Amino acid sequence: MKYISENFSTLARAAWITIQLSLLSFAVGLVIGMVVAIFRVSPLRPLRKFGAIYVSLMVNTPVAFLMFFGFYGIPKLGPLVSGFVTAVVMMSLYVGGYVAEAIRSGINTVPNGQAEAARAIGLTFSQTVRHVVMPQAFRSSFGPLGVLLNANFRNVAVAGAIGVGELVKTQRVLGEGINPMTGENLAYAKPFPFAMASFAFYLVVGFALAAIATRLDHKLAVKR
Amino acid sequence: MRVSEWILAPDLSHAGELQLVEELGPRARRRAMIATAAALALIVGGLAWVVLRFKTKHQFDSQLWAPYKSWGSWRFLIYGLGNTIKAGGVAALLALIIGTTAAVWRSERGTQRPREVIAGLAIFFGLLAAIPAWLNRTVSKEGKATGVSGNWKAVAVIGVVVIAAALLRFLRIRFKKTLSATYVEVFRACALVLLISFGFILFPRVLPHHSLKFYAYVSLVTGLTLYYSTVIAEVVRSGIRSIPSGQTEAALTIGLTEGRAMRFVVLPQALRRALPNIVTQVASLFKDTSLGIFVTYEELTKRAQISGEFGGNNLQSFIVAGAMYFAFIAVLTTIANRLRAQQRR
Repeated sequence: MKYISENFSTLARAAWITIQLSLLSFAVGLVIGMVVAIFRVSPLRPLRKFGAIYVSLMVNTPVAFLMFFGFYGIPKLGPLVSGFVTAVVMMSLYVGGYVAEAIRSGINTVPNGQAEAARAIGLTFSQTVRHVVMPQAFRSSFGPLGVLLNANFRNVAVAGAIGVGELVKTQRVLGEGINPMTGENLAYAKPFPFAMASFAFYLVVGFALAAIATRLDHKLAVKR
Repeated sequence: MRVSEWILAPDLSHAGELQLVEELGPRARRRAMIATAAALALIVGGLAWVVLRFKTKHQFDSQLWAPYKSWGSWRFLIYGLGNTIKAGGVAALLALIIGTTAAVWRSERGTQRPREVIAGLAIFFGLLAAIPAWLNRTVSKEGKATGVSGNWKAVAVIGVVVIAAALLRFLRIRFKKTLSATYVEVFRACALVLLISFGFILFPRVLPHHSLKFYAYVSLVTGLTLYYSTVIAEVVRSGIRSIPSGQTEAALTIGLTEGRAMRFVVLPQALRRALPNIVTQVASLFKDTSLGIFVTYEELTKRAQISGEFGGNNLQSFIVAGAMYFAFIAVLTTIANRLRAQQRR
């Protein structure tokens, strides 16, 4: 306990970075996923193909690989950006593929009669999607999206591999007896307390997120 | 017009599901064509821009690709993929066994009582807290036994176990159900990276005098097994729950015990039903072997990075490795999708 309280500010800062990373990347991923999902149900085959290719690229590539690719590979083509930005971009691209699948399966739960009725009263494709299909689809994909949010929260720990000071990386450095923020040596090298503390953090936030997601899912579910 | 027919052909792979458009009229067709042209222009433009970036940054230069014209670099990466499969395969097997067991134990009839939840957490955190204590014992074994003598320790341990067992019995806590539920909920909520790096600090202390490679392998496999066994447990359990209760009742009626009804009647059906999702999770497990980079395990991602640093061709190495990953994982994903489609029929 002494070890935790002495380094509490460092750990809290790292936990905050983890939360920021996961929320930011999930928000961007949500936008990407929504666009790709609409592509995948659009009447235009080229767009459908593009959406399918994007999803299969993201679903069939490991996230740690993407992270390394973004950090070591892409800078050869463009400007150097910080590890944090790379992490947000790569995580949102990755989670975007999964979000697209979740929303698409939500779209497929909307009964055909809804779209037919929308067309019958003269709505265009984009109006049908925006006002009739998407609101329902979104609500019925809340369950999978909640799971994804939770998974994303756990996955962003991968960003530690490219030097982002999130929780898992920070607790590891602390455990080796170094303060990652100042770079100075601590008087002790105790890996277990820090690992346990971050374990507890993941448990608490993970359970909370799952509980909230389940609540929302039950509340928003469309009765059919 | 052939092209327009191709572009506007309805998506027959999802026949019976939501159809967002009907046969288009002439005006809508023209608009759809324009939209397609614009979208294609954007996509092709984007790709062309990337290619141009490659060109201007000299990433097409032949010396950067040269390593992949010979066998050596390929072999280096293929061995990396071999390591990926070695870790992922073992972890997948263990996760399947443990996960199915946990699912069966957790499916014991009746809901979990609050006192069972509390008991489960107590057991889990008790074990967790015991790890450092136990490790201190290993570390200090150099000298003579200090403090309480060995005999008394053994007596104390036996006493604690007996009291705990009596307590569980007295409170009518179903041990298997409680244990599996706690196990699944706790490890499912933990970041996989944390589990893997936790193993990397734990194993050198528990099993001293091994090589770094051994520790890397063991902690990667342990982490993957712990996490994915919980995921597979949930998948299998939802399979078990999807089997109508009439199956169990019929099995009990013809005289099977509850355990046998589960083993011979419910579980085979449940596993078959859960198979597509199990394969998806195994694919995901193989993807997550790339987290071996956290414990210096030399699987494909790590090897691609090494190869890139060594040859100064990071981008090229990652492109080759990415293609290998894609080819490997896509096979599993495709199998899962096929199975899913088969079941839907």
